[in-house]
Amino acid sequence: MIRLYWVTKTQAVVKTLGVASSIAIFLAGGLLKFEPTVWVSRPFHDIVAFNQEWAWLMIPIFATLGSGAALYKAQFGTKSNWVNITQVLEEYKKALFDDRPECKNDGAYHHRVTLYKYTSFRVALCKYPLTGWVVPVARTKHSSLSRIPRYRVPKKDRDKAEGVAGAAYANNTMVPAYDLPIITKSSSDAERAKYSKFGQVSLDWIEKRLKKKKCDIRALTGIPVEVKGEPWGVVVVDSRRPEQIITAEELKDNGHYSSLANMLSKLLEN
Amino acid sequence: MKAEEGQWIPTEFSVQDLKRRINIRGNKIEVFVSPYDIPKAIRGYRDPDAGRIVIEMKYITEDEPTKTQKISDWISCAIGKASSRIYSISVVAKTAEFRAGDEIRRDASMKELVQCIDEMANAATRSASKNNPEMVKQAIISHSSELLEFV
Repeated sequence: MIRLYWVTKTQAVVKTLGVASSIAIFLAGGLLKFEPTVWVSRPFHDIVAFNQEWAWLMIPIFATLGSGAALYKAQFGTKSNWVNITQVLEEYKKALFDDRPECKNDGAYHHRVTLYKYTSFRVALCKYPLTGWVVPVARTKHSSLSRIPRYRVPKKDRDKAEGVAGAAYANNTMVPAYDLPIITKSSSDAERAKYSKFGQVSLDWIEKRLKKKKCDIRALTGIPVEVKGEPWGVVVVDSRRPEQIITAEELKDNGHYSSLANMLSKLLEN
Repeated sequence: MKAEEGQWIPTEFSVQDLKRRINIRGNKIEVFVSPYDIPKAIRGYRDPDAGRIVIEMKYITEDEPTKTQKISDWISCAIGKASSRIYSISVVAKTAEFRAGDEIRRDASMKELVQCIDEMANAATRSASKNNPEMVKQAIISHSSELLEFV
């Protein structure tokens, strides 16, 4: 699930938890100064007595909850940050496809830009959860936002990196794939082999994918993303059109990606 | 074009400069150098106070902290702490004999500079790390006449 969706759903809860924990610690600590015998009238007597008995447990619990909320925010970012990142990806998609006459009548979901982040492990029921992965964290609008594939980037054997996203991250190069055949259940072995070779996926991966839907992406380009010189993840541009998405001539100019890289670098630092 | 001291010169690379053939999952695949490794501009200037010539490279992002690495007795580089990308090359002018009007010696010193970059590329442990030194070398060779004009 992409971060914008996840953070939007949980941001209010996490914020409330953080504020409530701070207030609870303040009150629990403050009430420790009061003696229950002084507060004869109920319910103040009961509250002070309860606090005296349980403050030793309540304060660490609320401190842990408050720290957890802060850690969550640091790890997953804020909604506004992810809205900005999504907008940056949208602008890049427009720069790549809007001027192409052949794409004039294409649906918005025919071309997508997805931002993948490298993580050294996944908390998920999957094969090899403790190996490196690139996982989707942001995507352009009008695209499917769930069931986006994750790709392995094994720490000890980078040759086994999966997908154009994994290959681009592992090799720190721009990996293009184009003229890929549309793969359906009736596709030939030769077509599946071609998709496997240039899409950087195994034949098993293709079979698993066919159970849910056809492989109709015909061109992809994976571009490494860095933040302050450190490898961070990959941007993958994919299209239902077979033409090469970014040619070497376009890469020489670098204009579109230059703006994207600068903005992403600043947003991803947060 | 005669380069003014400190003026950024936009780099130009051929398509072949940007292409690489690497082995991915047992297949030879054609890929391109990462946009982060391609210098988009280069400039050179004299630092008379320090007695050196400096060649600087500009990339699409400029937020990486750098550290100094000594390549030889008279050449040192500022390289990225995380990426090992070459951000600047500093040549001690007196020892390298970059003297105004001495064209033969200037060319010889430029060749030594390119040789040092080659050594850096060979020392890189991962093939992707060699991409940036190769792009920097190509940029210096392509614009050597413009860079040398002010020394």
